[in-house]
Order: sequence, then C-alpha cells, then structure tokens
Amino acid sequence: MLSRVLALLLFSSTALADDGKFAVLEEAQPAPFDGVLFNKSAVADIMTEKATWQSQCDIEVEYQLDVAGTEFELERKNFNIRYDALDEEYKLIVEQKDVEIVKLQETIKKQSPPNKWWWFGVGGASGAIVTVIIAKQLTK
Amino acid sequence: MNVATILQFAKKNWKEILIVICLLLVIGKMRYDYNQLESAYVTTQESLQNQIAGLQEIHKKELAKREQALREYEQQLNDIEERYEMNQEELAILKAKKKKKYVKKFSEEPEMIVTEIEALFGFEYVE
Repeated sequence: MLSRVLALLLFSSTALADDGKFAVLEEAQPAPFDGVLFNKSAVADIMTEKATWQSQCDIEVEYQLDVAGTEFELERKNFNIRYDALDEEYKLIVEQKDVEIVKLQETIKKQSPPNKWWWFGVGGASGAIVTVIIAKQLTK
Repeated sequence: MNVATILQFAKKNWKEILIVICLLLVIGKMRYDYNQLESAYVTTQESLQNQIAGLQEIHKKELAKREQALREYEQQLNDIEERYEMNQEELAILKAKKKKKYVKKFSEEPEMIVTEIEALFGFEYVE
C-alpha cells in the first residue's frame, strides 16, 4: 500500500512538473488551419484518459455492482430471517393451541359426557323420591 | 344417643334435613363447576404465557440474526470500498506511467505523436 502511494506521488510529481498547456490558434498564425494547440503534456493527458477510460469504467461498474449485490444480499437475508421467525411463531402458536385444546377437552370430558348417565340416574331417583314424599304427605 | 334416637330425630325433622342435603348438593355442584371454570382459565393462561415467552425468544433470536447480517453487510461493504480504492490507486499509477511514457516518447520521437493520435482518435494528420 505504502509503495503504491509512493509510486503514485513519484509519477504525479513527474507529471505535474510538466503541466498541460494549450492555445487557440487564429488566422494568420503559422498553422495550416484554425484550431487549438496542445503541448505534449496536455496531449499525453488526453491520450492517457482515452487509453484508460475503459479500465475506469470497469472499476466503477464493478464497484456499483458489488454494492448493489451486497445490499440485495442483506435484504434477502433479512427476508429469510423474517420468514423463519414467522414460521417459528406460527408453529409455536399452533403447538400451544393444540395443548390448550387437549387440556380444555379433558376439562369438558370431566364435566358432562362421561357422567351424563350418572346425572340422569341421580336426577331420576331424586325426582322419584320427592314425588313419593309429596304423595305421602298429600294422602295423610 | 343411640340409633333409635337419631332415627327418631330424622323422622321428626326430615324436611329440614332434606333441605340441608339439597343445599349441600347445590353448593358442591357450584364448587365443582367453579373449579372446572378455573381449570379452563388456568389452561388458557398457561398457554398464553407460553406463547408470550416463545414469541419473545423468537424475537430475540430474530434480532440477533439481523444484527449478524448487518455486521456481515458492513464488513462486505468495507471490503468493497477497500478494493475500489485499491483499484483507483492502481489506475492512477497506471495513468501516471502511461502519461510519462507518452511524454517521453513524444520528446524522443515527435513523429510518434502523429501515429498515436491517429491510432487512438482516428484524427487525420495535416502537415
């Protein structure tokens, strides 16, 4: 890294030592046509830019694609995490509801269906006894 | 107090005894129903408490996973930035080298400018 920076500084200083210059040539000045005159450094700059724009573009494209891909990956992971959490929540609630249903069914079973004949018998017998007692009282 | 006395008492007060027995039956039945209702309530309460505890645990795990994903994202972004900066530096060095090469070439062989410009831009050279 340090060597790169040093190399960059070295090359930059060499390049900066000879800055690009240009001039606009007009009619009557010694030139075959009106135009713009660049010195060698300026021409070298333009040519260098032209020769390296593809690499610059590739670097930018790679960077933007990497960033977009990473953001997409994060979004995908977050969706997956949310999905897993919702799935777990769903399973938990269903499981708890199943347990609750089983327990409530046990409570209900204790309450009526298994004992219904017993209640019927007790009710019938009580009714009969009360009827007999009332009848005896009335006949006295 | 013998059995005959008790029977005598029961015979004499059978109505009151019957009322008391009926009342006790009603109270017993009410207590039983109340206990059943309480049992149902406790069952529902336990189920809800389990659900709350489970949901809290799931939420905690979800947050931890999100944090982890975010950390990985930041790490990857840092790597990308570093790679980008490195590439930019390399390109800057390459540009500086190229420029130096062009300047040197144009000083040593001025006719090369013509060839290079024609090759790169396709411009026509006019003497």
